[in-house]
Parts: sequence; C-alpha cells; structure tokens
Amino acid sequence: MADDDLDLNTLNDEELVEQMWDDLYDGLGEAIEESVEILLARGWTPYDILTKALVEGMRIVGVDFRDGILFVPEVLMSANAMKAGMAILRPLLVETGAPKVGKMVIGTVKGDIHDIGKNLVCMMMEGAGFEVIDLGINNPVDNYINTALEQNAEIIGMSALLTTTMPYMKVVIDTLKDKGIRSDFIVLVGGAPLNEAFADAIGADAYCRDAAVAVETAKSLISRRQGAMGSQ
Amino acid sequence: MSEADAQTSKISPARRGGRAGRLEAHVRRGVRKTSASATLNAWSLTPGDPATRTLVIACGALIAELQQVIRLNGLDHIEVTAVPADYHATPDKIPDAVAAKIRAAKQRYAHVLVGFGDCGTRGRLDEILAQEGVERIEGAHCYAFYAGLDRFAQLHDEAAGTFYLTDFLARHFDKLTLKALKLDTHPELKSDYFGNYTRVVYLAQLPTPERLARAQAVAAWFGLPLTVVETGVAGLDDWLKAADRTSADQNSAARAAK
Ligand code: B12
Repeated sequence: MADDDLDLNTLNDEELVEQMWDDLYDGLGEAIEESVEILLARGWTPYDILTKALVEGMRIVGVDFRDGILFVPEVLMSANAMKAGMAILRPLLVETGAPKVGKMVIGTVKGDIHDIGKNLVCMMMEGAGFEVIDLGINNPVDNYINTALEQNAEIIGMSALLTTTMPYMKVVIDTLKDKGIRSDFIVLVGGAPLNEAFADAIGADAYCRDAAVAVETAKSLISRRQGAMGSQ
Repeated sequence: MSEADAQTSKISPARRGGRAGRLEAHVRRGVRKTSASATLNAWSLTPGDPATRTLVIACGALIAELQQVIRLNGLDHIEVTAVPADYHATPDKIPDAVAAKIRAAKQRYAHVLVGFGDCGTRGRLDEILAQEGVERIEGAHCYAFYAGLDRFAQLHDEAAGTFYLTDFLARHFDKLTLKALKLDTHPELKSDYFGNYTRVVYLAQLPTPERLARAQAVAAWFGLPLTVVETGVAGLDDWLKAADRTSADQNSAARAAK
C-alpha cells in the first residue's frame, strides 16, 4: 500500500495534524489511529487531539460535502476514520475529565432507518463536549422521552430522511407538550428533506442543516438556557 | 493550511491526495450541465398541434413505464422527457433541472406535467411547481405512488427495515446503488449502509421472469428475504389520465374563448 511510504513519526506536530486532516478526508482509519497514538505519546491531551485534529478535520469534510465536492460514501469513510480515532480517545477523555457542555438524546424517528447523518451529528456533538446518548434508528416516541427524562438530558435530537417519516417528529413534540414537559428540553431536528419552515411548523427549537450547525445551535441554545435559569 | 503549503509539504503525494487532490479533480471534472434545450430540440420534429400537446418531465426511473401508459391509452399527444435518475443521490439538483425544462417546454407545449415525487428536495420542487403553475404526481417517491400511498404506508409499517425495488431499480441496482454508494470499490461499507435492513420488497410494475430474477439476485446480495408485490402501473396510469382530462378541459375552454 502506498501509505506505507510515509512514516508519520517523522512529521512534526503541525505537519502531523495537517496530515490527519488529509487522512480523515481520505477515510484512512488506520492512519488516524496511528497518528492519535503518536500525539498521545508526544504528550498531547486527548481533548486537544479530538478538537484540533479530528473535529477540525471533519469540519473540513463537512464543508466540502455541503459544497458538493464530497459525496455520501466519502463522508461515511471519513466518519469511520474519525470513529477509529474516537475509540482510542473516548476512555481517555473520561479519565482526564474533559469539559462537558450538555447532554443530548438523539435518534432516527420511527419508520426510518437512515442513520449516516445522525451518526455524524453524534460524533461532532461528542467532539464538541456533549454527552450523547444514541438511540439508533426507528424510534417510537417513548424511546426519546423516557431516555431524556431518565438521563436528565437537555437536548432531544431527531433525524428523518423520508418525507413520510418527518411528521413523526411532531408526534414526539406534541407528546412532550401533552405531558407538560416541552419547555424542559431543547428539541433539534435534522435530515435532508427537512427545512426551517417545517421545524417551525412542528414547534421544534431549531432545524440544523448539518452537523457543524447542530453543534453551534446546541451550544448557543444551551448557554441561552443557562443564562435564563441563572437570572431566575 | 493553504493550497501552496499542501504542495510544498514533504508528505501527501504517496497518499490519495487529501483535500488538495480532491479539489483539483473536482475542478478538472467540471459540473455536468442539464441539457433542457438540447432535449427539446429533439422533440421539435414531433408532429401534432402545439396548442394541445403535453410534455411530461419525469425522472429517468419512470420513463419506460410512462411510455407504456401513453401507448396503452393511445395518448399520442403526450411526450416525455427525462431528468437523470441518478440525481436522486443529490436531490438538491432536481428542482433546478426540472425548472429549466419547464421553462423551455412552456414555449412549445400547451401543457406540462411533472413525474417526480418530492424525492428529498426539501419542498423546493413543490415551491417551483407552484410558481410555474405545474402539477406533479402525488407522493413522496416512486415507491409510494407505484404501491399506492395507503398500501405503501402499510408495507412500511410492517417492516421499517424494508428496501424497495422497482423494475427500474432492480435493473439498475448495480449502477444506482452499488456504484453510487461506492460499494463496488469499498465492500466493507455494506454493513454501514444496510446493516439495519430486514427485507427487500420488489414493487413489480410489469414483471417478467427476467426482472424477477434480477430482484432475486438483489435480495440475495443483501442476504435478505424477498417479497414481491405486483403494483402494475395503475398509479401512473390514473394520474396521467386524470391530468390529461384536465388538460383537455382547458383546451376546450381556450377554444371556446377564441
Ligand atoms: C445514503 C442514502 C440511503 C442509504 C442509507 C444508509 C444509512 N445507513 O443511512 C440507503 C441506500 C440504505 C437508503 C435507503 C433508502 N432510501 Co435513501 N438516501 C440516501 C441519500 C443518498 C443520502 C443520505 C445520507 O446519508 N446523507 C449523508 C448525511 C451526512 O447527510 P444527512 O443525512 O442529510 O445528515 C446531515 C444533516 O441532514 C443533519 N442532520 C441529520 N440528522 C440530524 C438530526 C439532528 C438532531 C440534527 C441537529 C441534524 C441532523 O446533519 C447531518 C450531518 O451533516 C439520500 C439523498 C440525499 N442526498 O439526501 C437518500 C434519500 C433520503 N433516500 C430516499 C429513499 C426513498 C430511500 C428508500 C425508501 C429507497 C429504497 N429503495 O428503498 C430507502 C429507505 C428505507 C427505510 N426503510 O428507511 C429518498 C427520500 C425521499 C423522500 N422524499 O422521502 C432520498 C431523499 C433519495 C431521493 N432523492 O429520493 N438511502
């Protein structure tokens, strides 16, 4: 394999991080694992590796996906490469007590089993310091609400890729209202066929067109909420 | 990192090129243009009274079946033109491609219809159709309007993990699914894409032994059971005939007004 030509150890930190961006871009999971190990050995904190190398690399992938330069298979391969790096970092992040921004319960709605986008959102949210509870696919309303209550989550995230499954998001939101707990949660929705008008119509807090927007929106809604609670 | 840095860096050429390589390839490849006018020129030789002709702008996946419906009903004044079926992987392209064809068609045809579902266009297709005053077949996607909206809902309720085939998709599965998802070169992605599927439903329009064999081969590739549901083309047939009656009424009204 051509990759064997390159000894990642010979790169200085800056070059290595840039190489990691390229390796994420090319979906090279093993190279990412190797680079993560090298940076750890050089004394980098798991948090710095996560944010400066992995999250930044995936941000670039996200931009080029949005701009039609990368397509679904490439994004999936990049996500898998990031996942390989995360698997090494996750236990270390717990040990080193990286900052926790908030907690999110997320899943694809009932009737829908598209999950590539949702998985990407999970990863980027985790990378941004959120604790993420992934409910997987095909989720009925109880899965969202019971888990969010049990886990004391601030955010409920729903994904739908089919026009026929989008309306189910409203079922979840209406159930929250019926139970009188709608305002206890920030509800974020996403998925290719949605748009802002739909999110407004069903009463979600925000529609996020991609994982980067999801992170920004979650952060700002959480801090607004904390501000509001602080002033009470 | 700037592009220049990427080129002078001591790494990368051995690898696939990261972002810099991809961007270069993207520029070289250029962007495929939709050739609405080219297609329409081809139709301009078609005989018939321009004051009553209808054009159906449809997904490539529906063309053969639409032509069948036209033939069987003797609707000779209706013609069809295709928007590439592979736009489904990038649905944001669909509304503009359809809009370009509508605008070109309006100069030559009395009536224009659109044979597309919403197909993941975030409602933009319907917005454009409302602006242009053009009607499309009802349904989110072709699986729904082939099966019928209620029957589709029922099939999907039975098993959320259903992958649907039509005659068209069964025939072009290799190109439209395997190749488009890069499963031909990255078979390791199969479980990421399809790990949660539990069955394949073949919505058969005009089944032949050969088509059935194709569907069986696809199900075998998935390693999943196959259910065959014969839908025929009634969904397209009902829609096209109803739309054609509306067009005919409009033609008479226009004649009466003259
Ligand atoms: C890949 C894909 C598949 C894969 C899914 C693999 C998987 N494990 O997920 C396969 C091939 C299996 C598949 C199957 C089907 N698919 Co499909 N699929 C797609 C495709 C091409 C890309 C979706 C994708 O993964 N995008 C990549 C990710 C990164 O983007 P994303 O999902 O949009 O997610 C981003 C944002 O939306 C946002 N986001 C997403 N979720 C969330 C959630 C929250 C909380 C937040 C904040 C943000 C957020 O952030 C994400 C990351 O940036 C789309 C077309 C398209 N381009 O959208 C069709 C599409 C969604 N599929 C479609 C259809 C019809 C089907 C099938 C019914 C087809 C069939 N023959 O059976 C089945 C569905 C079966 C089922 N039971 O659910 C249609 C839906 C049409 C409609 N109007 O409903 C589409 C739009 C194709 C089309 N143009 O017609 N599909």
